[in-house]
Amino acid sequence: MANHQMLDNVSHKDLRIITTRAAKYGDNIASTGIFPIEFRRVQAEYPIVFRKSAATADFEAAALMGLADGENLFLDDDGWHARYIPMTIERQPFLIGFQDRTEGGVPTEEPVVHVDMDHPRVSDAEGEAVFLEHGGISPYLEHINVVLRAIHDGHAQMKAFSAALVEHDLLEPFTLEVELNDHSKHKLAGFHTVNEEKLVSLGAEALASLHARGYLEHLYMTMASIANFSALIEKKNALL
Amino acid sequence: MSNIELQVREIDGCEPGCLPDEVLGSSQPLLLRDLVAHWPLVEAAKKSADAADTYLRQFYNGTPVTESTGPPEIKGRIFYNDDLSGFNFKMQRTQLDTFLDNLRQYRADEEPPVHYVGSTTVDYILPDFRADNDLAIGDAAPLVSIWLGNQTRIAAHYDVPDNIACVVAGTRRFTLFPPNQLENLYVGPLDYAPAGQAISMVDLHEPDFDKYPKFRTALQHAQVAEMQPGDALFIPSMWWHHVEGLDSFNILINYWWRSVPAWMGNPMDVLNHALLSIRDLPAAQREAWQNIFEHYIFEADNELTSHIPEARHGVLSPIDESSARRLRALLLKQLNR
Repeated sequence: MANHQMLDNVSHKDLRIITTRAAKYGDNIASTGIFPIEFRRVQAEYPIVFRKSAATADFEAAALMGLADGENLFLDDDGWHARYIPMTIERQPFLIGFQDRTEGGVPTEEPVVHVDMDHPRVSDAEGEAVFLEHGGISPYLEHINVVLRAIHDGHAQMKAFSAALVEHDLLEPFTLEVELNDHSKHKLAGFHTVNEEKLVSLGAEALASLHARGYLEHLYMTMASIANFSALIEKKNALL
Repeated sequence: MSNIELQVREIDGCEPGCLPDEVLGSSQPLLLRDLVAHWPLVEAAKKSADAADTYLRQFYNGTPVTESTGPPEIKGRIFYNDDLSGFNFKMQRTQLDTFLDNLRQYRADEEPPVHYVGSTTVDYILPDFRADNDLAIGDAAPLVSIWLGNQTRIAAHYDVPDNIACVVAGTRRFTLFPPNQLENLYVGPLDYAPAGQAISMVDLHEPDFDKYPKFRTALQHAQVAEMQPGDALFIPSMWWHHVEGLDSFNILINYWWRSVPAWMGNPMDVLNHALLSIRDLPAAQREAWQNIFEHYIFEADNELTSHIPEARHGVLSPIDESSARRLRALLLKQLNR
């Protein structure tokens, strides 16, 4: 169960966060949400795929760390072996909540930092201090603030990117069937990837429009990331 | 009701919409009759509340507003509840149309529930309204806000900016106290108040002199302005004001601006910092700091730096944009610990 509380430097004065990567801290997950500003760094490590949001029907992007539920092939007893960890992992156990506020008499919602106090990373003894000795903001919390802001902005950027993907019909569903060295068969379904035929047949005007918004780069980063599937399969074979 | 004899001084012969420099630079409140009598909204309000209501609605862009409501028993006095654990009114978001419908519904009611929309930025909700209903405040870029409601009373409080309050519908009574009456006003919590600014705990309509004896002195220094649609009141920065909307349909539009550059800090931050750093020092240290503040801040003049080469005056020079930036960076760094 989650126990979300608005973060403040009185109620949470002794709060520390364990930043070690391990299954017991919730890192044993096969995929996590990512945002366009991360694609360049994500594609160096993980396959990038798209899935349709159940809530909004927009496409969301995800990085894959495993081929089965609860499987993170980058994670072992010594930690998470990758040069980049996506922001939706980095932020934990913090999240963005919204607080009602009045700005010039007009009610608005202001994003504020919340913390899940039941998250296994929460501690009062080990890990990174969230607040300085007298209630100031620690460098760690400053970093978390940057990550949360990037995620907040990332949702809007992903929504706009998704609209462009739909407009040009640039995604197609795909199914990955893998046979491992022990002849066991695994199937990955429910994701979308870039429809390369559609992309190469786009006219100059459409390409210019995608390029002007940085979307062409995101599309090619996604296509390049598909090569990381073979790395995932190698990791899985190595565990046999 | 308290008997206050002093009336706010009236300035005659103001051209409609024209503010003489002597008004903007005044350290005393001034009443400017009919300053905005030419505004179409004022002309409509002089015909009827319905005419003003109809005129106003045409500008509304649908942005929600924050409405305060309270039961008839509070008699319009927007305040704390009995033990200060909360307030005697509720706040909710609503549409301006719905709010105006509510006002209309209770217009003939002898003891109506309170409906009040305080301090709302005009341009956020009525984007084109100021094209025909506006006032130039010298070169300042003021914050222009609208206040609507039926019978209300807002306890005495001060604001940091200078203020011109224009009554555009209904009648209003302002009761003003000079800044030096602070100790006689029995001010409530600094960090928990109905609209953010700390308020006087004394009920001006029924002052409890046993509990608040020094309030008699405050009343001797009070000034009153009774205002009709079209009248404007200049309230200098830091003057305490108790504000009453007297009709079943009242609208006020006010202009807030600071006469100092925007890069200067907010004096309220200094007070909070002094609570953190100075008030609870041992007496001798606190007195030493009192002396230091008098020397460097309150009695600072040219003599202060006459023994230092000008190139080394540093932060003792009059503040400018660059030194404001340097001080802000220093404070941000020092405070985060």
